[in-house]
Amino acid sequence: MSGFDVRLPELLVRGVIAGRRHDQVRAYEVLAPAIMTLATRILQDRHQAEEVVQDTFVDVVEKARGVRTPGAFVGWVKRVAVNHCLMRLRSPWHARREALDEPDAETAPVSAGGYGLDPQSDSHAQRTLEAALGQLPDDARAVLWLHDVEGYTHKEIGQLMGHTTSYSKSQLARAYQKLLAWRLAGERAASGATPSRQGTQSEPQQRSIAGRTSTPTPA
Amino acid sequence: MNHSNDQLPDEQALQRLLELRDVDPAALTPQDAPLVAHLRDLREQLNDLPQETIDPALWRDATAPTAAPVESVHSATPPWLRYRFAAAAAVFLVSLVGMLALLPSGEPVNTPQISASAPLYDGTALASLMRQSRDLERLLTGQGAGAMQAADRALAPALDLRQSDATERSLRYRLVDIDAQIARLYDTPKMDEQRRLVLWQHRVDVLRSLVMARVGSGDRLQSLNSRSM
Repeated sequence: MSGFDVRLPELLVRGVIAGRRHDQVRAYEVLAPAIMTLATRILQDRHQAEEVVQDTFVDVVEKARGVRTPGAFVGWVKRVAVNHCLMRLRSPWHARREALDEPDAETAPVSAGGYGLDPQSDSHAQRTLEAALGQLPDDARAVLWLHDVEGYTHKEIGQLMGHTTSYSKSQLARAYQKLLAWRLAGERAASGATPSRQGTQSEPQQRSIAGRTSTPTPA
Repeated sequence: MNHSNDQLPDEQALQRLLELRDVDPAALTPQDAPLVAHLRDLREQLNDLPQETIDPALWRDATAPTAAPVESVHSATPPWLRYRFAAAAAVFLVSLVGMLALLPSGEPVNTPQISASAPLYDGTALASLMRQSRDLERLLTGQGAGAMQAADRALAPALDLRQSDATERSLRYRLVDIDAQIARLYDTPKMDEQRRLVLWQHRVDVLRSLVMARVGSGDRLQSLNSRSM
């Protein structure tokens, strides 16, 4: 669930808009973890995520007076945070760092059983999913998070990213393709098969997932 | 869009399945159901991921950029020094004004440029604008000197609105608005001379545009008359 699914008291929002320090602190306490979560998932970097939280709240302090309706405040904060995340994804610094951090085949996390945890536990599943998220291409991961968790439509995501609606749809499908492959690999590893490295599914794994699919009819 | 059974669904197939999941679940077929269930399950897992924690000290850092400049300006100069600076500036200003006032009148005075960004109020400029304004009004109304007392007061333009076209009418409304603003200036306890100058400049500009519009329409009328003759 998105951490932004909160309803701030109108009085509090009006206080933030009016620039009252006490209300700004309270809004920070409620919204900062949501921004941090959003930014960490999209950027996969805690340090950059903290910067996003800071930058977002600098904007809140400086520009909140531009918010006309208190009911739109949380949505506005979310949008500001998303924009800060996307700006960082687009920055040449990020691209350069990503190239340096590219996991090689030997060190890439395995899909399951690689964390020394019980493969059946929730914690293990979550860490596996987080690891899978980290392996997704930037845009696919951002679209996946914005669409499936933050509830943005493909049209809105297209606008936010400066692309088309179909670009957003295609990135989401690409992200799920990889996640499904990961999941299958995880299931196979949990059932005792040799864990395979992410993104390199063996033939039996591919059959396993394909067995659940139908032949789609043309749209 | 077919995909064979020995590979993962391709991107297009997944797009269709995601549409079924998100937009049109009613169109879900039993064949698609298992994979769509997988997609739903993954979405739920994404939503169940734990929320990140944040260091509360970040708030201080977040607000530092906005708070710092104000604090640094005040903390950089001790209060006793600030008062001395202010007193020195006041003494300098008073002596400058005194020197200017003592200069013999009638001769041109080379006043030093104090600030380029804030032009000083100039009574001569205002008088010139009023003169221009009066002349232009005379031109428009066709009346002689003395008919319009365009002294230092707001004037409702005594112009005939009946024969005006759209451009002219909009210019006249602007003129009325400017006149109203000038009138309001006189009601304020301390008149903003700079604003007064600006408004009179606007008034002259609008009147000039009116004259141009009138000349243009006169030309058109003349050419129509000559054609019909």
